[in-house]
Amino acid sequence: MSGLVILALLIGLMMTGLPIAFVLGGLGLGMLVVGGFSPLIVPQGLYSVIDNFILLAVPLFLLMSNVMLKGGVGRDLFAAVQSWVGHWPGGLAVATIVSCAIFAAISGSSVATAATIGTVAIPEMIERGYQRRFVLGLLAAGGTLGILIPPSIPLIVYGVVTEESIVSLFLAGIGPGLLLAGLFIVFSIGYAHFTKAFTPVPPAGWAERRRLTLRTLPTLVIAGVIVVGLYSGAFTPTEASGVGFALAILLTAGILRTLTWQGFKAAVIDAMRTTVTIFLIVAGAKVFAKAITLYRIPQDVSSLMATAIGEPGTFILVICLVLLLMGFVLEALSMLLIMMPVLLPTVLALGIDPIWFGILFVIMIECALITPPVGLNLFVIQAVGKAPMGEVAAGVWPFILLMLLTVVLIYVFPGLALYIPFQL
Amino acid sequence: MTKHAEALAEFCGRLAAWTFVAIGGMVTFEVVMRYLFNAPTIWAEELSRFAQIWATYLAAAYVLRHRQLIRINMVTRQLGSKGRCRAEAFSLLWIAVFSGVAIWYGTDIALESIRVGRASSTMLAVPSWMTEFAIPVGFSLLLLQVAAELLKLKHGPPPDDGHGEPL
Repeated sequence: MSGLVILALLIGLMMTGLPIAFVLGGLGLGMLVVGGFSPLIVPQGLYSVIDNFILLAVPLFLLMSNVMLKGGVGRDLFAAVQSWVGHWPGGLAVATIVSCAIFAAISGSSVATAATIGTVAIPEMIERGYQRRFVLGLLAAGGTLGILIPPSIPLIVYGVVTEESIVSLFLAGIGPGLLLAGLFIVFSIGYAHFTKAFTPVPPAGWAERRRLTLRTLPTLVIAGVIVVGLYSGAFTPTEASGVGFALAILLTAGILRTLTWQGFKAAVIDAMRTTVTIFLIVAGAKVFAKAITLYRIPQDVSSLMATAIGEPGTFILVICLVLLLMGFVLEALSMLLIMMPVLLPTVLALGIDPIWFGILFVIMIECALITPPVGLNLFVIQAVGKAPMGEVAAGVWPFILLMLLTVVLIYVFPGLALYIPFQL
Repeated sequence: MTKHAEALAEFCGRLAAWTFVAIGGMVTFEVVMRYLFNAPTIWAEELSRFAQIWATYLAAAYVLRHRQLIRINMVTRQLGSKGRCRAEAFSLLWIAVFSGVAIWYGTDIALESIRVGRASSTMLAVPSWMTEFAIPVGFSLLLLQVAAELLKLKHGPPPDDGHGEPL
């Protein structure tokens, strides 16, 4: 009963336009007071949740990808990939997805990925006769690779909330990320082949390819250092983010000489804004999570689920549907931070691997965010592509189907996610 | 008064931004010292965590001022100017109450730490109040910014700015 009242308050307060961080924090505070618990829990929670070495990876990965962005790395990357695959049928679409996948390895956010590659790819593809709605859908979907292929900010937050290993989560994201990229590529080639709606790009010469690839090589090296460093255990995720940030400065300011002081300042301010926005939600969610735990809501949900559903498959289906609905109004991290503290006991009780569940959760969140009419990532592409919402929405649905297919594949073959962290 | 509050929020936001850069420096320095010189520091991890707490709460007022806090504007977008003003006032007052609690009890915790001489259980043994004061200080700045935003409401509702930055 109290659970339903809290849910109603949660939704009601969000609809007033109150910032999510304070919906969660304030509601948590209210629950503590009503339940006769000490409000001292509020500052304690606000303090302890940010006093966390793992969370340091969030600002540092954001600094790294912002510096790369301001250094024009996206343009170089796209040009290099395009010189190799541009002349294929649907070559620019393939280049877009491959660029997104590579940029995803230095960026933890799907918005940064879509924005970086989108700014270069969208005008180029439209000029080459690709249908606008296909281009916009492709970018909205390609951006989602940003949080599936490590590093990933939602996976860091997931790991902090569930106390699971960030490294395992990162490694588990690689397989599904590559699978998804592969499906997008196959679809793009097929689409271009059947619609013929594109002008082929002449193949680039070998000299051209070598020049462009050399220019983008340092970026690949940084991505490689991070993934290999994490995989081999040489770095913790936080250390990888620090080293990545330092390398990004070295590359863009020292080697490419594309980073200006103005650009660097803008990157620093942007990273701070995004970080603090995220951390305030994390902090508010911590207060809320403490309150619902004191009310024993997660345990109640768990026993309710165990008796009402009792079977992992049905549970996962229900969660997927709930997430699709939530995606209409909420963005990724809020969904994660509201749902996971409630769901974790159920996940563990049903014997579901929490690492595997994290990957599934992130794909579902992303799916929800590009589902029309109100997926939030659609707004980003709409802004980058300067297109009406209807056009983006029309182009995105084949990609949503591919993402749902990936969810099904990961459900049927859990090894797609779990092989790299646990078997390799 | 509004001007001074906003200048303060702006300054603290920038300070926080460069603090995150400094954290990047500390973390990288630690890695370099450990791998190249086999001499890990005793301060890098702890100081970077402490800097993170201060940076986060110092910049809370900045993100409020720049309307970066993630919110759902689906319903409020439909309202007229008066309705938007009311919704905004409600949000600000709600944040003010929450900040008040954080300031009051946060100060309690920090003063208690001074009284009993609590310190971190590491080699550095940093006195706990040094970081615990980040909560009351940060939320005091936020409260000040809330007051400034409430005063600005007299001139009409804030522009409909979307919903902050999703990831």
